[in-house]
Amino acid sequence: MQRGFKIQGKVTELYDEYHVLIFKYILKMTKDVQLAEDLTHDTFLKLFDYLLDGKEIDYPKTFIYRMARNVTIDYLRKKNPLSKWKDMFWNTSWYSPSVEKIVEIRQDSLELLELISMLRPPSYRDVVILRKVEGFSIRETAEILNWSESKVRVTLSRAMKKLEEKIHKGGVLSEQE
Amino acid sequence: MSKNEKTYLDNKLEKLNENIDITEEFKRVTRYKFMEKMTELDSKKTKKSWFLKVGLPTIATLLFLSVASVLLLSNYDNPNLDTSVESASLPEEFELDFEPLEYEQYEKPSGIRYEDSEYETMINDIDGEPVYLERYLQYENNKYIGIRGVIRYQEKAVDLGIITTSKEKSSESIMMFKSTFSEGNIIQFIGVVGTRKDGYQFLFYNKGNDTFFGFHHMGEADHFDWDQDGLDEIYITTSGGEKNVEVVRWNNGQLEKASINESISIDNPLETNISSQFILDNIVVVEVEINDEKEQQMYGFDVGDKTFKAYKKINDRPAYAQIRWNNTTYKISGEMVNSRWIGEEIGEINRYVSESELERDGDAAIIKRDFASLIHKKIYELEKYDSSLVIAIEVDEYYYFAFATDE
Repeated sequence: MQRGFKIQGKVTELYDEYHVLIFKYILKMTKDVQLAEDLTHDTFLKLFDYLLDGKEIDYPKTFIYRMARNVTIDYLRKKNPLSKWKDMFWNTSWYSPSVEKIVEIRQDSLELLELISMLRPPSYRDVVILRKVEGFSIRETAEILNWSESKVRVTLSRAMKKLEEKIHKGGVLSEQE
Repeated sequence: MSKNEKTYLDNKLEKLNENIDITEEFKRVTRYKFMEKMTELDSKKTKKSWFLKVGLPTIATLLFLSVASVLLLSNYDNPNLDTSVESASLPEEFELDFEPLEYEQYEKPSGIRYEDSEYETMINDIDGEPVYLERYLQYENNKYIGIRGVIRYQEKAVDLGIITTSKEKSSESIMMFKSTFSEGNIIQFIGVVGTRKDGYQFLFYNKGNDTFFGFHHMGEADHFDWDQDGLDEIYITTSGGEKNVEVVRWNNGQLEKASINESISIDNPLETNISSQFILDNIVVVEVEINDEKEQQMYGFDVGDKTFKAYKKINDRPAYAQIRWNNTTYKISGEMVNSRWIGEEIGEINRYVSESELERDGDAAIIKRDFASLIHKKIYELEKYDSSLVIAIEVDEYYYFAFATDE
């Protein structure tokens, strides 16, 4: 039991440091504030469970992101085992009342988020978010996605090209200048 | 797409997170909800974990000792039951000897400026109102002396003094507690703040007169309703230097403390530790260990007469397997070894044989089929023990004792 409380302290520190980032990350995948909140909690509870088992983490940030991604994907898979769960991400709109009550997003960022959400295949969105928005290195992104580093580089290059095309079509960035 | 536009896009993507603002109210509420969930999960895990890892082996032991093992506590005086304990050091039963515990009434802080506050953390809530810990860097004659903690609750602020001498921000541990510590929950145990090096402040709130009080202790805290009266006891385990377990309770309007070492009259035990606590037929099982490998003793806390009573000896541990090492046969028990005792790796299990065929180093004979596969599992010395008497084996990242048999 002592260990449990020590680990609670550790998880609380990690929660305080990363929960906003993780919430935003999951929110970007689900666009549902309530779900993002629940899955953020689930992520840190899973982390707590993991540490309770006596396991250790070398790089908490990467580890927690990976856990958050897995928790979110698991949830969507369970909820929709027969559908293409990957396409459930982003399919709803950012402009929902539940989001607006809790989260305020600048208009230009909102448009950019919408464009990222339209990227296909879904792996393009994953890699852009982690590498460019969350700011992970190639190695860290590869670790979170469980890909090779070369796959991250290639996919990112293609994804960015696609995103630039969408931006030019939508005129999002040009309007900001 | 030119290089400049790409850089611009990169910048826009980098700033996306900054441009998503989440309300402070939401952050506060969601943190509170998470803490509740974590506490609940910890409670569930603890019960489950102890049951699987300690409870089941213990139940097996109780069965092994036949029907008498469970009935022992209620029939302890029955001379027909062979419950004698060979240990010369440890008593067959003992009571906790409680005495008043002095505590400090925390006062309003002085000599600090709110604008000097480094940062604050919500450490608990009282009736839904958050309790914050604020930290202030403290200097004396321009020399850094540590981080001073201030508890802030509603409009009230109380001074905890120096909570850590570390220079690192957020070096202290904060443990939040939700326990029923006194009748009507007038006295609330709200948490522990401090570091292993400098010790911990145990914090209480008196709802009756709206004051905070507490005490300092080097040990680490947990709580459990040992005597099943509906109110939690806090137990504090010290592992560095003196090894002891102390029990703190609220009784007759005051804090009281009892030391297990003093209650058993042990001066310098190798380990006095609560390694399990679960309720089995009205018994709270508590394990106390002492300096000789063969004198480890299990005690059960009898809720009826509030006395600890010995109920098994080391050789009665259930054996899950036997292994052969260095011309000795060891029985693997279901009891886990504290990982900090693990010494050098001395070998591994190579093959399964029958019990009668145990002869070569690395041979193993399975006794209970439900134990995990042992092939290629590593064998370790224990730093505190004579390896001719006890070693350890690692199975699925846990270490288990293996005790030499009397061949």
